[in-house]
Amino acid sequence: MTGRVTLSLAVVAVALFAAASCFAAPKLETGAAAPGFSGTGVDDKEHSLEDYKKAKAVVLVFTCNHCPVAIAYQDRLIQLQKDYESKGVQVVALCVNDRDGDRLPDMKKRAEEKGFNFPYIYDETQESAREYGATCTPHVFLLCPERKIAYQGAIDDNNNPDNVQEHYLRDAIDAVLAGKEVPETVTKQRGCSIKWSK
Amino acid sequence: MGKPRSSHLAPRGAASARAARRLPALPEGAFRQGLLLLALVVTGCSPSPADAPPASDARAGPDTPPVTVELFDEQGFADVLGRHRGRVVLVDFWATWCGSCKEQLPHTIALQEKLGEKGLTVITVSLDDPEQKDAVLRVLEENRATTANYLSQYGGSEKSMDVFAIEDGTLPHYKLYDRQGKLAHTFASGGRNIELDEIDRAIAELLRAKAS
Repeated sequence: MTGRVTLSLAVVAVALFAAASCFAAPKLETGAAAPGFSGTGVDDKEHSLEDYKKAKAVVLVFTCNHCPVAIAYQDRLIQLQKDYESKGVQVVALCVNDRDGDRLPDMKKRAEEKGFNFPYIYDETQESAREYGATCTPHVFLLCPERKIAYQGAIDDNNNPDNVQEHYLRDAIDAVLAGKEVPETVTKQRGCSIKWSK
Repeated sequence: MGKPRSSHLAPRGAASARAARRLPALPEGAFRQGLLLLALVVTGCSPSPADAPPASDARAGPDTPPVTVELFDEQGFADVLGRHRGRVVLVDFWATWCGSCKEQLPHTIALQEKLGEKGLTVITVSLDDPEQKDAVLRVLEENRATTANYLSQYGGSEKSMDVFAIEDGTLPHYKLYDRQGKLAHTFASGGRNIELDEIDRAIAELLRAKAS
């Protein structure tokens, strides 16, 4: 509970800072407690962060159906889940977009077509994106075993898989699993803007 | 776009092994652009910007100048801004993969036509892969983009977001410079939807402030 209060204060502090400055610093600092989230999955069940207690690390990715950058990363996320499942890493995909084609019925279709091997959850309140400070799709947050923010930003450094040189997310996961310092804790996310309701 | 990928941007390390897939490109909003184009033709609106793109030396006449796009980096960007000192400059950062960008592109281009003579220069900067230059040009042509158009040498990468200072990594993104070449406004879409009206208002205000 106290963690929650501290977090709220931190969020307020960061929000004040952001309002006073043009520089878009991440909303959550590295090491900040990961905010909870909730929404309905493509399996029609309610999901929340607590459901993934058992996972050593959680890769929370704000994504969506329509954005070609998000689409370009679908296969990379599927592969990530495959590669890291046995190590206790869980990919959780959240969509918050208020946009035709990005809501639950279409999300179900996409999950089915692509064979998503991770939950794909719709949060129509958009609160999760606000709390995490997600700006675009895809935008990832890596939560360590203590459910603190260990890494946030981009999955890697190029939308085009052929041109990728830096695997930021994988490097961060490897560090977290090995109990080491994450080499780069914040990178710049890239993608289509989140479609806000207001 | 349907052509085989050339590989002058050679991948390093494990990237190539993991990644034999292509970036999809969805022609989102193309229909809307088609309608706009039609509207321009029907109303006989012939774009002839006072400030033609550097790569195009076509004279403004009965024929519209050719639409062009040039590759550039941060130095090129600085040079372009420097060349337009004394004018208000709107920079529209977009990409073919960004649906909202393509919906808003006609608005940007119309601004050049409407306010070019009043001292506005509009620049578009695509953050697509340089290899997708043809696809970029196609969208620009569909929109009769007689603006000065550029394509980031760094493509859809973190480097692009860095060198052009797109802090939230999110498109659409606009930057507006005053007549002194100072960044006056940034319109970022990460935390909220950008209202086109606010861009118009900011431009009007900067245009009113005459070169002093």
